[in-house]
Amino acid sequence: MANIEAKVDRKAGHMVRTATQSGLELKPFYNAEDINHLSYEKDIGDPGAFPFTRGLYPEMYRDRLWLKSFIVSYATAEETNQAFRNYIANGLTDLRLLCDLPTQAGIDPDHPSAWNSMMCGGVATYAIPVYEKMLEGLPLGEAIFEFAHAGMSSFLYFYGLLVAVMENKGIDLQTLRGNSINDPIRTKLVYGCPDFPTKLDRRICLDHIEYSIRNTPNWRPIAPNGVDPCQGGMDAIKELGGCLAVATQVMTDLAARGIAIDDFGAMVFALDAESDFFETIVKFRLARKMWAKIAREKFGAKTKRAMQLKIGIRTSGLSLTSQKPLNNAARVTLQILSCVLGGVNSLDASSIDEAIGLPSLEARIFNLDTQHIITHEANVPLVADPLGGSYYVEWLTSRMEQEVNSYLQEIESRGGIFACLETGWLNEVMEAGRLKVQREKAENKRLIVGVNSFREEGEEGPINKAIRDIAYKSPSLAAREAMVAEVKAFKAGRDKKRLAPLMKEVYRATKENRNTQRPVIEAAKAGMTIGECVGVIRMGAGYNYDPLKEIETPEFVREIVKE
Amino acid sequence: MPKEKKIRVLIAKVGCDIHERGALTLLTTFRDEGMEAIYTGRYQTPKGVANAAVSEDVDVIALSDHTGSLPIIAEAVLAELKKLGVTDMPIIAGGLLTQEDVKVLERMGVTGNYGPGTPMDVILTHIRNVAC
Amino acid sequence: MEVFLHNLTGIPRVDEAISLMKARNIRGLTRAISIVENYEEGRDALLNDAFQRASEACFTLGFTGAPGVGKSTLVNAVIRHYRRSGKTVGVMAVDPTSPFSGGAVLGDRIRMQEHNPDNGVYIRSLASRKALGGLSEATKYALYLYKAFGFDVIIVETLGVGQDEIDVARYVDVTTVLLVPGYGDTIQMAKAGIMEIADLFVINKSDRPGADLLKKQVQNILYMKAEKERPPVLNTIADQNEGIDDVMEAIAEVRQRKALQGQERHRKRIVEEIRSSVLTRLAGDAEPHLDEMAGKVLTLSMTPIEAAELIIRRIQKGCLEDDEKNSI
Ligand SMILES: Nc1nc2c(ncn2[C@@H]2O[C@H](COP(=O)(O)OP(=O)(O)OP(=O)(O)O)[C@@H](O)[C@H]2O)c(=O)[nH]1
Ligand SMILES: [Mg+2]
Repeated sequence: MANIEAKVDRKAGHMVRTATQSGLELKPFYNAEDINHLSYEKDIGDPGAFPFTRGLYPEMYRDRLWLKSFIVSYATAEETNQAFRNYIANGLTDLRLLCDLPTQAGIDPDHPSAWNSMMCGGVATYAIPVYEKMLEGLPLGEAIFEFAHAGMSSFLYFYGLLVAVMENKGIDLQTLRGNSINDPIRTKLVYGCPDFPTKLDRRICLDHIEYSIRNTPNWRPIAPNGVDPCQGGMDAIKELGGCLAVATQVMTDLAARGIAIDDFGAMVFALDAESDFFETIVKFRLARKMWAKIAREKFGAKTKRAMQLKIGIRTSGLSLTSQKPLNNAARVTLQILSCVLGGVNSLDASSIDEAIGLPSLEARIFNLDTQHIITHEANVPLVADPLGGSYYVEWLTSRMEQEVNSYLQEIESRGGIFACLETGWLNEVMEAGRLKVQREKAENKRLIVGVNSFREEGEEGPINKAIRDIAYKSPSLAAREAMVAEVKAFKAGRDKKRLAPLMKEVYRATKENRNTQRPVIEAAKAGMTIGECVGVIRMGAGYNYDPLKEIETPEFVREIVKE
Repeated sequence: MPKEKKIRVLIAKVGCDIHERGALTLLTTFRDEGMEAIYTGRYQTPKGVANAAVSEDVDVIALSDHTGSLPIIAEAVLAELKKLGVTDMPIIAGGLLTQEDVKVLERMGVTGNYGPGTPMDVILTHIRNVAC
Repeated sequence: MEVFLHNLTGIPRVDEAISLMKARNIRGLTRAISIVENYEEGRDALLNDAFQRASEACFTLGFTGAPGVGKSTLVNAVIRHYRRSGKTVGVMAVDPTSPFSGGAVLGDRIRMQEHNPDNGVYIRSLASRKALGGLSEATKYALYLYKAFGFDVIIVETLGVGQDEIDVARYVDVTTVLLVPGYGDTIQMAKAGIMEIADLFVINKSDRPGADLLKKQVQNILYMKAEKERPPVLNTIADQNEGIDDVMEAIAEVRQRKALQGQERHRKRIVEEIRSSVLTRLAGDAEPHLDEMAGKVLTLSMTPIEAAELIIRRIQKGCLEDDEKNSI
């Protein structure tokens, strides 16, 4: 695996590829012949009209610009709360919530396996007081919340906490806006989350959606996620195909619970903005088109809303490099531009220092400014779908549609997306994709500027150096110890008499196949922790308490689940 | 008849770090370089990693972590190895690291300490050096 | 005549391994396996010692089947079963060596990670390396090392493609072959000779459609066997721990039945072991001549058959010379 630098003559500047990032071969140019087979009404349509290839609304960004969001998540509730306040003061109301990694895996900070990654990646939001502290003073009814967690238990539990906090404060649940990723395929495929087995993931996903549709109509309870599979090795075709397959499966499962697509409303996908500029734009146009068709043709959607797909973006963290980090500014700018040209609804762009550490505030402001420059100086969003009608873009949209369709057929023929996950086939596909990229980079068929090509000899310059010098702090041992002590004190100080029957109801609901979401909200109000929530649900479904099989069932939980 | 010693590497992840791509990339790269690569999987304990390393009689442990906790993890794994009477097992680390982390790790005897984007040949050469 | 590589620590390493083994220190076993795998000096002494001390009281189990059928997951559940009754378990998990690089990804441990912290379980991943038509040399010998160490139960997981699974059956007491519904490979199995070696069939992933059908298909093929020799066919969902008790029961029954033919089987196994050692040794001795002979065949100065004849004669002569020296 010798890393020989690509011999690219900088002046001659010839290209090394003839295909898109996902391998679609391209001609040097396209003309009217290439899009002869397309009909404007059926395949393209005006913005705001079926199949929404050109965008969801006739006025598009003139009416409302895309939402700008960030994952805001620091080691403590206080820091995170302060950051939220800063963002809101700057007009950013789309708040993406995360928590630390042990919590996402479904264990409490006092679990022996939590220690090594405690408070990394976010707050250890183990129970309701932490949420109350984190959200204190924020305009809950006005902000938009997004849950980007890894484990499926997180969506059930943290949505539960959010609802609990709002109810405790007497805020109308109708005003709760935002979404949960809640994608049971991504959770296992990419993260191998231990909290629940897949069978249980699939059910919990539906419990959350069902409850949300009936009680918080402005909450989008699922957003099939292509970002993480894509970072794991899936290409644009399989990323989109995967999301469509998940959405299709979930709508089918919901129908079995008596929920029709028109009750469900608009779908949301969380997609990746990758480096390949046109392919990324095309992916967004196609996503809307394909979902609209599936919603109408397969699920008989009648309302416009139910045919609409909203796209939330996370730009590719993987495309960023720690070598010559200044180059990341160009990468992210192009990725943001592709999102705007592709008509997305919300955008969480990576920061240029992300390949080095946790993003700094300055890098995030730069990020926002890039979006302002694209909007107000470059005037890009003035006209909807400015690339619509381009021979190349329309051809590529249609070409990719063929590929996505055949991928969907393959999934279907293998028994659907869950069967594909459980047989390991999806994982094989992702792994093959990852290896292909790895090989292309090694063979210099995929150039990464500053990494396998265009490297400079000698010391790096002061600007790059400065970016590299940004250091994050990982939580100290003392902070971790304090956290363990805090959780233990919290657990000991709860009113167990009040809590026990509420937790028993979570256990029973799981066991008796009733919806678990409301019981989780009630028990969370009384202090049930994330680890306990995961534990009792596991036991209700016939598994052991601890997902990592390291600790015994706590004594008081053993009492609770006694019949 | 194989008479050549194969380098055996244990790629280990401790705690709840979900980022696996780096570990997987190492796994296949090591195989393609003629090494025998064993992966512990995610969500491991330090004790489990130490036991696995001893059981597998590996030549080197490669710790991968992207949460910024490599010093804490390395220290815990070293302590568990010591309990098993192993004090000479080479450990290398890679993932999210600050300059300060690197210093701390080196003091413990953990080498490599590679940040993201380190060229594979650098890592491979280092492993071949510490493995024999 | 043999040149051993990486003989850095020399004989003491072997002695140390042997004495650690005797003291039932796992590091002894661990190191002994590496010595065998790497053909380190003192290997033969180590093995001779192991052969002498190997306990036939160890119960050996083989699990084999196509990639991904759930062998490791089932083995994991089986370990759990034995651990509940306090039995010590040694596991040998064999994964294929890449024919291109000679390297390997050894991934079976991942499914057995819950036993990582348990001192009563020893799991070792072995690459098949260059197996000469079957179980790799190292795997066969490692089995003796395990027996010398004296686990209550020894489990071997091998990938069931080609010859390996047929081979493993010769070395263990009870062989379980895993199948999964939905592969449509019953005919394939019949051809590969798997039907002959299995003492027990497990249809794993029985949560998937087609499990009952596959069970019937397998039973139909087995119908030709005499009733008392007919291997049981069982359904499991290994990752949910379902059907494991039935498997354990069936394994115990097969063990009892086969114990009756114990002497005969033991003898056959020893014949096989000697044969395989001889072949390996011969192959090693032939190795240095192969290039030269290939050259001769290519220039048409002899046929491959003549070349083989010549090599064998040279090897024999080498032996004679040794004998002559010894007698002087
Ligand atoms: N649906 C289902 N999946 C299972 C079952 N048993 C195992 N699996 C899954 O099948 C996959 C492969 O399992 P392994 O135990 O690694 O299979 P293996 O035969 O050891 O695989 P190799 O060693 O790679 O050949 C894993 O994702 C398991 O979780 C089962 O009974 N049902
Ligand atoms: Mg296996």
